[in-house]
Amino acid sequence: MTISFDPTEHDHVGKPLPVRDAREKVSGRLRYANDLALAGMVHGALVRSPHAHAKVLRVDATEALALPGVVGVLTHEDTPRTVWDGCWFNYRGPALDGHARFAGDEVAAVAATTPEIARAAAALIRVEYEVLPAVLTAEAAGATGAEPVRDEGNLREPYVAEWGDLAAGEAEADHILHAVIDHPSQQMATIGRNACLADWEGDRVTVWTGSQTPSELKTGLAMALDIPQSKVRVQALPTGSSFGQWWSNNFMMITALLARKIGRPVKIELSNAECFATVKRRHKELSTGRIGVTEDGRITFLEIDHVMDNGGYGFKNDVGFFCVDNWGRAESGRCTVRAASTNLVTAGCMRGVGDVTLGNCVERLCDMAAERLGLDPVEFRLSHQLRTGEPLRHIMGHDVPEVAQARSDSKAFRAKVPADWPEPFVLSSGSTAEILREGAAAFGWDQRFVGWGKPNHCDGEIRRAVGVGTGIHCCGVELEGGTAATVRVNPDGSVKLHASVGRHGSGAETTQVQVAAEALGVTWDMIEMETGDTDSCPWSHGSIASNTMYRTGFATVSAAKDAKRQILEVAARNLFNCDPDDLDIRQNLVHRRTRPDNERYTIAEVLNAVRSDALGQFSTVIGRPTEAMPPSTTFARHFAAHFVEVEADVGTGEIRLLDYLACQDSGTVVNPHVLMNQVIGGAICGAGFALHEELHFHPETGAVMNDGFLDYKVLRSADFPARTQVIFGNSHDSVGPYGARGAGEAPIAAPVPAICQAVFNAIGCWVDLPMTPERVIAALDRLGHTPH
Amino acid sequence: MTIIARSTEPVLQRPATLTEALALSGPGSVWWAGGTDLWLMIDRKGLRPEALIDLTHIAELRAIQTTGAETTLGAALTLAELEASPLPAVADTVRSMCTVQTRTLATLGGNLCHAAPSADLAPVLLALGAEVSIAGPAGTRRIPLDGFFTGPGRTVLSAEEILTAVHVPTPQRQTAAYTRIARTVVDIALVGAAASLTLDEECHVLDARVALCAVAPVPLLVPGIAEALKGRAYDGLDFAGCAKMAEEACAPITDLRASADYRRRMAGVLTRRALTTAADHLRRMPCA
Amino acid sequence: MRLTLNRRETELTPAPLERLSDTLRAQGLTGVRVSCSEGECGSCTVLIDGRPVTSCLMLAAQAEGTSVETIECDDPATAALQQAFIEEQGFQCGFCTAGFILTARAFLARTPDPSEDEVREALSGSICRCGAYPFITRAVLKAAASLRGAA
Repeated sequence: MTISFDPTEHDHVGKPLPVRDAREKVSGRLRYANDLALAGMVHGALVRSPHAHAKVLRVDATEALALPGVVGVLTHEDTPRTVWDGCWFNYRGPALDGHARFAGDEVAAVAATTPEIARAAAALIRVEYEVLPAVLTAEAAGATGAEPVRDEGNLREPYVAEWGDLAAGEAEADHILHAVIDHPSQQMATIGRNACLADWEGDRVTVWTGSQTPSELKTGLAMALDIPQSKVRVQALPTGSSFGQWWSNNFMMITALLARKIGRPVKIELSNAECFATVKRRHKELSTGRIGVTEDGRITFLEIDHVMDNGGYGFKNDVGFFCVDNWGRAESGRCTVRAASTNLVTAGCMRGVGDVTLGNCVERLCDMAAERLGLDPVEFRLSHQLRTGEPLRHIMGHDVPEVAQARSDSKAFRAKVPADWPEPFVLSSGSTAEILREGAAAFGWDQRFVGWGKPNHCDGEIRRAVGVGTGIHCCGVELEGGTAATVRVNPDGSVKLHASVGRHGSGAETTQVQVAAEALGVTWDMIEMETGDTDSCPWSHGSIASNTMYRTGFATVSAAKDAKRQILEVAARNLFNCDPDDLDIRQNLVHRRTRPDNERYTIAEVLNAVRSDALGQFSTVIGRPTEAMPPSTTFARHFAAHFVEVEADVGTGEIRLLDYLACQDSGTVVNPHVLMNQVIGGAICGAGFALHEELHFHPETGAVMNDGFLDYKVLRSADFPARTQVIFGNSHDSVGPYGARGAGEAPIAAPVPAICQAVFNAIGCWVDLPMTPERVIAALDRLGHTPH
Repeated sequence: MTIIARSTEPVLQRPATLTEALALSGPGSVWWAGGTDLWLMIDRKGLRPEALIDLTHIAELRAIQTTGAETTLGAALTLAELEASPLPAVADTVRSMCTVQTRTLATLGGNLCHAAPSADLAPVLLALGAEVSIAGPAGTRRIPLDGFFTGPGRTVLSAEEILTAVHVPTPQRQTAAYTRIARTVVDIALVGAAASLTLDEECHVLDARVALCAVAPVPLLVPGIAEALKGRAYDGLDFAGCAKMAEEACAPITDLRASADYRRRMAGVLTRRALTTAADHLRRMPCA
Repeated sequence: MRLTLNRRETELTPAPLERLSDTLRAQGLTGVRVSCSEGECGSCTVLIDGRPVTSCLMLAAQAEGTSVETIECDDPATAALQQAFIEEQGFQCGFCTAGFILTARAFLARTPDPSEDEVREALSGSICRCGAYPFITRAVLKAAASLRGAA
């Protein structure tokens, strides 16, 4: 593997520093939720519906309660009639309401002195159901007379992004191509199960669990428990790989409810099968699209109808796609997303939501057009993909008045906001252009791509070919609230950064410290970070939507600058007798900008000076964000361009990945090690989805049939090429910390179209997803001949 | 012998000899031969044995012996130990199985007696013409491996009997190969096929076998292969007919992993490939 | 039952059908991570007499008389691997890391100078869902080089 990276001149930003918890991770000492225990704790187990759709008529816990060691049982009759919801309606519903909406849905819980007794007791709880008709597909959910999965009805309001004159675009097209892509449901398939512990003191509760969204979880708990947020403290812990699985989950609400009922601390640890089958998954998404192109290579229209299923408790009306922005040079377009509730396990945002699926459809349509015209796929992307300064097509939050105003009347909007805010709905920085060009050169694309549907190497039944794909995603979404951070400088000059972020391996606990240290002028070792305690971290969106570096990082830098300003004011007044603007901090030392070596004080000296000063009020400086952040959905994106070589066995249908190049434009790279890991990790997870990953649902009960790694196949080290390369783009963002943008999701969107295209080039036809050996053979059968 | 007894749950008993093991057998007892499949049946499938008898500490079940005509593999050899087996086709097969961690525990006998239709060692041993030794209260017997499997999870063994060894004939001028289709590098075989070819002194086929897994309720020896190839010069053999015979011998099912149609077709493809690989190996072997 | 646990003679009293992974975690050895508990993911890997085993698939009773080593065991090869994993960031969430390191340690003991492909193959018994495989491979090759240098 080789790395192309140009380090910057900052002290901390751009440095491949080891992550803060590296030693704990390699030594097995990092504490995950399942490692935690409390004195007097009992264990909970969940009773789950065997039916896809049913009303609970009666719960008989007599036998369970008679089992020695059983402490208590929780049913819907003990539960407040409240509805809680999680970020972007990934979940909306009651914690327990006697209505099972999927096979595996929680209907009761039991607490006992050991996990084994709790599980045995759960099996002894007799639940009488009225079985209701089940709707197991989005299509069935929308049929006339379909059984309502939810009180609000099964269908959400369609979400539409459109631009230009579609009818004119269609009339002008010389070629119109169609694609229908059935995207199966991907499972986050987390390694490391989650657990939740809840402990009440009076009417206040503390909850320990693995979560990417500590603040959102606090909000959800307050709703589910029907208590003020001030009575909820979340101590969010690291999780195993999450990809959106561990945000706010219903089992966390039930743990807190059960603990309140029995008056003891409760721990519920999910089994691996529960993690796979009862929490969350990527939506099943059916994309139907058309593209029109002219003979000279213009895209005159792009139209996609995208149907997604929300499962039982998802309540989204769109999948947050940004792929239409990337192909927004199309002269007209309309993208419609329709969402339906089904009696399948809840679906929600998984890494790269929308851009993995709908993005694959957009890329497929464009590839089909390029093939029809005989154009090189890299060149076609360079011609048609978004560049800095061009308009964004996906007007997320179009129903929010401020967004609508910003969109319709940019001048009036600009008059109200700071002058240095980026133009709304115009891409502020970066694109795929540079990474496509550099990637193509590094990969040797021109030599290795020998034409559409043509392998570059044949040997017996083996065909080799290359493919390219691009991905895009947002850099955080602000529509549900702001991000915040506080920087506390202690009397000894050490610093604690408080920002609510996830610790699921994306390195936020490290990269946030890097930008804080840079902004404050202190050394790396002087800063510690609290990520999960909602009593000390201000409300923040958490680590979702590639939000952390861009939006939390903005808040962190702003808070660090505020702390620095306060320190400099004290130093200017008490020590330097000058204007604070004449001072700076570097390497923990306060000094004059003009004569940095002349007179220097440590931060501790500055703070102690104020402590001994009769006028001194503060022994701890608290910095908080002082600048408003412009709404990032209206101008910021991050980009990926991936190049792959595959080998297809036309005898068996097996596909092997031979070579992989992942290029990423996330603006400034704050930590190359962290970003490389994000990029390659996304590539591997996306490649798994392209080749193998698919949840199977039981045809009658909708229950997940492959609820473990035995039959839910994810890639292992020998499945991914040894030859792996990462290239970073060089763009700089005017808003993000030190020019950085978001990072984690475009890299899972690019591999799917890249691998699909490479397989097409190897065998001459498109293959349904995931491209299992059997589906490759089926595609070759439809083609009717073997190419060579 | 050590007996670990603490509660009413079945304890893992650890006999040191075959005689001790046979004496421990009783109603509801099961043999523990690594336990990687058996444990999942206890943990997930509700199997509740009365007693567990660990066979992996019996020295006589852990030996590899090679005489002039055959190699005998003790049934309690672990898959990790078989990676160094003197039989190259067996060693290759084992390296494609499960994970390196599971191979430390899982055994040859366990793989065969668990009798999964997809057991990888079955086709290669069937193709090599293996026989198995069985010890029981009434003494020992030796039978061909073909016929050992009676259905998914079922064999000819009675509850009191132990599979003690696998005997693999090692004729001159024989090669074998196993080939499988899997989704990722660690996977149960979607389809597996093994082939062996034996030449006579004139370099004509003396014997040939093809065996399959995951295409029928039991691992399957394809009938008629030897007859189809016997007497032919090994160079330039056409295996299309054998592939067809393999497809016809299958009785596959459709499950999450693959459809019956795909499995049947792949039985043919893999048969051709296994035979081709075995023939390629022959090319590297001096023909007397 | 007696066994050698992290190089100390130890007496444990597991229930007859207790998994080794549960027994070890009950000893405070949180480096034994349990995820799939069916021998697929490799997070709970420990070394039994130097060979890697997924301890969720093993009865504690099977370990009687053996030498069991977890990530918590002081060992120069483990230390070299840990250092290389830190330097190459051979992990993201860290849940699978101990399993990878112990599998790699057993592998390097037999194959001190492996090729890249041999490393990728040898580590395929564990799942890193975060997808740090190329960095894990680099870390193992780096540790192998440093151990060869030290030997």
